[in-house]
Amino acid sequence: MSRTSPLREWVSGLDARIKLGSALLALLVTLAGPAPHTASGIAALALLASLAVGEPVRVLMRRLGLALFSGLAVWALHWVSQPEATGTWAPALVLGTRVAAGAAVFGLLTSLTPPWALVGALRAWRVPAALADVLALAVRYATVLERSAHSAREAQVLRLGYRDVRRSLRSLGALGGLTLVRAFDQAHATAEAMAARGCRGTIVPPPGEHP
Amino acid sequence: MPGISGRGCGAALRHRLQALVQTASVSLRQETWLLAALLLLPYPAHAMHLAEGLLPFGWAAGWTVSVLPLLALGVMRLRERVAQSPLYSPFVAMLAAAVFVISCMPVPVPITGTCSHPCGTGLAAVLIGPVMTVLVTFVALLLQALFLAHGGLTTLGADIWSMGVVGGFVGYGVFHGLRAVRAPLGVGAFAAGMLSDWATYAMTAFELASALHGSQPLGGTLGTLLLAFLPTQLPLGILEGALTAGAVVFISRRRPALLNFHALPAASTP
Repeated sequence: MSRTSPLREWVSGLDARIKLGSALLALLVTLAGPAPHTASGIAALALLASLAVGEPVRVLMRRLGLALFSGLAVWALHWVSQPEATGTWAPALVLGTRVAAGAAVFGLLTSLTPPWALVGALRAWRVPAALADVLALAVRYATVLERSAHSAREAQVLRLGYRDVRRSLRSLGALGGLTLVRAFDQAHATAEAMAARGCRGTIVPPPGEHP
Repeated sequence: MPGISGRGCGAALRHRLQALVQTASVSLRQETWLLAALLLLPYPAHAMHLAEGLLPFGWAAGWTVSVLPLLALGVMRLRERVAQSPLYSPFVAMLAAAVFVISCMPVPVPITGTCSHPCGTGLAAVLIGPVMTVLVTFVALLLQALFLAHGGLTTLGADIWSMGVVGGFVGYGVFHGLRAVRAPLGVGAFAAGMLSDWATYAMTAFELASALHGSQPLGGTLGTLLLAFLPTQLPLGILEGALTAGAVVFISRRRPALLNFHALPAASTP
């Protein structure tokens, strides 16, 4: 099924509050329900839903990799420290299925809902306006800053800035500093642009109001 | 999981592993070596982030509820500063975005051959203080969860505790403590970044151990986890210290006002 299936379009168009609320409910049930059956059931449902909306199988496998890794680590912890004990796989199974359910539900939510829509949902749930503004601005500029840092790093690489350990450490520090200076410049430009447009209050409007 | 519960294969592997540990005459506990080996597998290292679903309900709720007062204090401070200076809100947002970007920078970890990433919260604490660092960490972690699926919603409280609260307060305290005894700027920033990173990892290990120790004693599990994370986190902390020192020295040369941004009166902020 392609990623532009009608089902995917319909679910993507749902109110972000419904999707976020459903995901949170599923996560809470996963953690609070009898283990590992509840977690396994929710993970299976979320994976089926992901397939139905056209998520690629390799993406789902990658999400489940972390669950397998976590389960193996817990199994190792219990198995080697208590070699005489039986059923050392039980805590690993509980944890593995919980992480699998979390990764499947959360992955489905983030693939169907853009970050700005989730911020809007938080604002609708009475998250303080100042915090919602910070979230909205950070969501907007995270990718901008990331691209900026990436281009600066490429320039450093071209100037042999990562030739040896000493130069690498110096380049890494300069890259961190440059990212922060650019963040500050961007903040200044944003504040001026907001003021020029007459913005004196909140950026993200309260629920029920449209700018 | 047939590979895990298969008793014949499991017993053989167990005996082989124990024989290997005994012949190596290593004083560390066996489980530490196995866990360390598992953590050194070529898998993306997210030691600072607890994955979604990793904590049981009680622990996830406990960490989340206990961090709410600090978040509320951060929001109160933010409101006060925004009322004084309209630049403050974009600055905190950009700093959160910068922490997000810095913590996405791949850092090759010596010895292990894997890549990890710095936290950036020690650096944030030096710039805007520990309380606002908690807020910045919340925003950066939420962005990482939404964009990159690092961490999660139910583990957000625990992750804020380790990175924002413990990492932020340790970084701030170390930096200003060393500056108070006239340590050079680079030295103070290096120590702040390194100790902030190590404190974060120690807190993460405690969170994991407290939730997962089961019938075993908490101290033993905590010690095992700390030792297992040591091969990656020890060099990573030093690298984070170098990153923090480099960034702070860079900022002090290019924009010295940024180092005192949180302490400046509203009128003097650009």
